[in-house]
Amino acid sequence: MIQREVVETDVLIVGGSGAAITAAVSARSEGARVAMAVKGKAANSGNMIMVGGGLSIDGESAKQLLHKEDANLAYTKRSLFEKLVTSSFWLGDQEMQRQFLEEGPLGIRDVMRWADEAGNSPFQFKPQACRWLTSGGAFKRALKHGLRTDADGVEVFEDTVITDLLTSGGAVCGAIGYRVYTGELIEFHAASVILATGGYQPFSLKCTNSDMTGDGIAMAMRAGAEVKDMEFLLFIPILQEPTRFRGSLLPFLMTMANVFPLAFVPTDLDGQELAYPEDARYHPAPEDMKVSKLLMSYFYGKGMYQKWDKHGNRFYFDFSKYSDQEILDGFAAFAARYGKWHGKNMYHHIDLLDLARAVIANKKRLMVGMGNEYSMGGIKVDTAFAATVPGLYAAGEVTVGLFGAFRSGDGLVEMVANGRVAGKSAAHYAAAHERRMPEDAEQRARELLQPLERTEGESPIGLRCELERICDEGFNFYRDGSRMQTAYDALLRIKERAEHLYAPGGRCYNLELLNAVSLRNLLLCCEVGLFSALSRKESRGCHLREDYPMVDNENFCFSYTAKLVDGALVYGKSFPKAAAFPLEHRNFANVADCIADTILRREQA
Amino acid sequence: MKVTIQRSDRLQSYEVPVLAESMTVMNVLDYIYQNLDHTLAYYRHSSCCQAACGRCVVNVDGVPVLACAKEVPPETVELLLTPARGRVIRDLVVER
Ligand SMILES: Cc1cc2nc3c(=O)[nH]c(=O)nc-3n(C[C@H](O)[C@H](O)[C@H](O)COP(=O)(O)OP(=O)(O)OC[C@H]3O[C@@H](n4cnc5c(N)ncnc54)[C@H](O)[C@@H]3O)c2cc1C
Repeated sequence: MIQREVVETDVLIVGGSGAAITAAVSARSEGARVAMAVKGKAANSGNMIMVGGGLSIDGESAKQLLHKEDANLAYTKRSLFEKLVTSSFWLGDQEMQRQFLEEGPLGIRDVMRWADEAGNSPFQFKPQACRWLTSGGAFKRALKHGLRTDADGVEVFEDTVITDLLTSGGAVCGAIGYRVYTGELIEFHAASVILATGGYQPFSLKCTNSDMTGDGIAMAMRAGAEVKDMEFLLFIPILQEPTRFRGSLLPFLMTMANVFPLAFVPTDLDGQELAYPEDARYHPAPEDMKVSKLLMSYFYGKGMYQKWDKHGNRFYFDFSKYSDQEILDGFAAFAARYGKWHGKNMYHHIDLLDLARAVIANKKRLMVGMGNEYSMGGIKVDTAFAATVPGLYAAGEVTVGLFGAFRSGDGLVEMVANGRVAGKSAAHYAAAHERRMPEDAEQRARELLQPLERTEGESPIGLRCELERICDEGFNFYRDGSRMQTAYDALLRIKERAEHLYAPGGRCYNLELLNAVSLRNLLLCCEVGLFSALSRKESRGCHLREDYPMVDNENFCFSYTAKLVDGALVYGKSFPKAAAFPLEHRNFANVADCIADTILRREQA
Repeated sequence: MKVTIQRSDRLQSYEVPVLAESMTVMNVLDYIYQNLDHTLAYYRHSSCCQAACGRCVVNVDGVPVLACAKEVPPETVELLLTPARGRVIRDLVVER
């Protein structure tokens, strides 16, 4: 038998960021014993610490629950609900959307209390937008405090990568993984498990934390759970160059006129403007700015795609209409807004005046690309956040259902709203069910260690870089059938090669072992994502196709689902229900027109 | 550029090309791991690469820096990377 440490608990939470911590608080308050295993550090890992904007809730809740007397009451639950439904391109689950609007403000109330108690955790309320501006740093301090004060007794296992769920009789009853530093295996036995591991990110240009390798989604599938909407990945403009700042989301912040005072001209690398129509119907009001992410993907993508083979995912924000001084002043004004969170003139490690000088030196251009910020697809759950396998729950970005084809709400609110409910449900399940002995622990342990035992084989990081190249080429923010097919075929070849991974150098902090785990998970997520994307012969939300630009509600108003049956992927369809708001039956010429007509409600001139 | 790394049992040098006009220590380490030596260990398992998590500390010429934020100018001829203070796990990885 392969040696491993065994930990017993009622509820195991996988992940240590916002969804995980709120789930831990809620499960503890139901009296459950809770263990938390997190790849990085609790409250200092995942995408939560990358946050660059903020979050909003409805005006009435801001006033009643958070005592913001001046909150804009025009943001009603009803109006936000309608926005969620239309922005999801009708694929969102309306019951989950309603629940999100109830649970979200309660979760945010806890976060604000923790932030107040922790101190040095600034959240700045903007009453008109009914929005709190904040940073990842502020969030992590608040959540760390919450974990310490409101989830007393949670056993936290940090720097521990969970690699597979464990099952017995078709139910999930634990998980197995290893401690990154030592390579020691660790097996958890639990009555229920909550996955809160975030999304998946298979591209080379990243603004996400390196944790985003789809671990939870893939391990849920291997345990028999169903996933859906895996083709929908959300992109925003992020920095390509200077290389030392690559991946920063600053360019996205620069697209907001109320934040950044200079108006850039988007051009391709040959200097040709990437046309974004003047027509007002494609220009969202400040309260609808979320949808600008998708409109930029569409309009910039259309222009960039014509030269994709030449330039790939690169374009410029061109500031050449401004003088050097105007550029410096503009960046200084921008910096003043973030000083509270990042220090004078800074945004994280980026000195914004230094960046302004780099722009000036580069013929007044900033090189950017569209980077994946969030994955809409994930583990299918019900309103108790139970997955389709008994004993398994999920919360946060790892789930699917709330946002459908495009995330218009806040990921931060989703994570706390889900965590609250999932923690409670998993604790109730644990109270009603005996802990079972896993049947597959030894086999999972053996699979995990295989790359260490081979004497030769494929390099996990080598294949991972290849996978990233494939996804950059054929599964990016703008797509067509032929590129996707090429990517899909190439992915299947990598999958075969990934049967022979080799991780030399022993167990102790072995990056090849870590990448072997990540690669297997990313491959599964991408295979499902690409297959669904190929099958969806239309455009919808974040699935933008050059060859099928139409939003085809007549034929495609459903989600693609997938699950593993005896090791083989089985795909299906799941149709949304019009629980409280009608579905749309009209087709639209393209995603931008659909947004203008249904989300922004702008009449065609 | 000659990059010398204090590994668990020895000093090891690698020849790294200029990757870009401006790069970071993390870019250099990624290059070595991906192209020259798959057994190199440096902090990379839950990394933000935006100086947000603060975990990728390493010494550059004896001074502790965040690998993801520390710039390596293209004219650099030699770079010495050693583990930061703390219990060394392997190569440049220190328990923190
Ligand atoms: C650059 C950027 C900016 C953003 N800005 C905003 C914003 O302004 N407002 C907003 O609302 N949303 C924003 N988002 C989205 C938001 O950050 C996410 O929706 C949110 O963090 C999801 O929370 P989560 O708890 O589900 O997952 P994450 O915060 O991603 O956490 C995942 C957790 O799982 C752990 N984990 C992963 N795999 C494993 C494993 N195998 N074993 C153990 N643990 C594992 C990780 O270490 C981490 O602790 C932003 C995202 C990015 C990338």
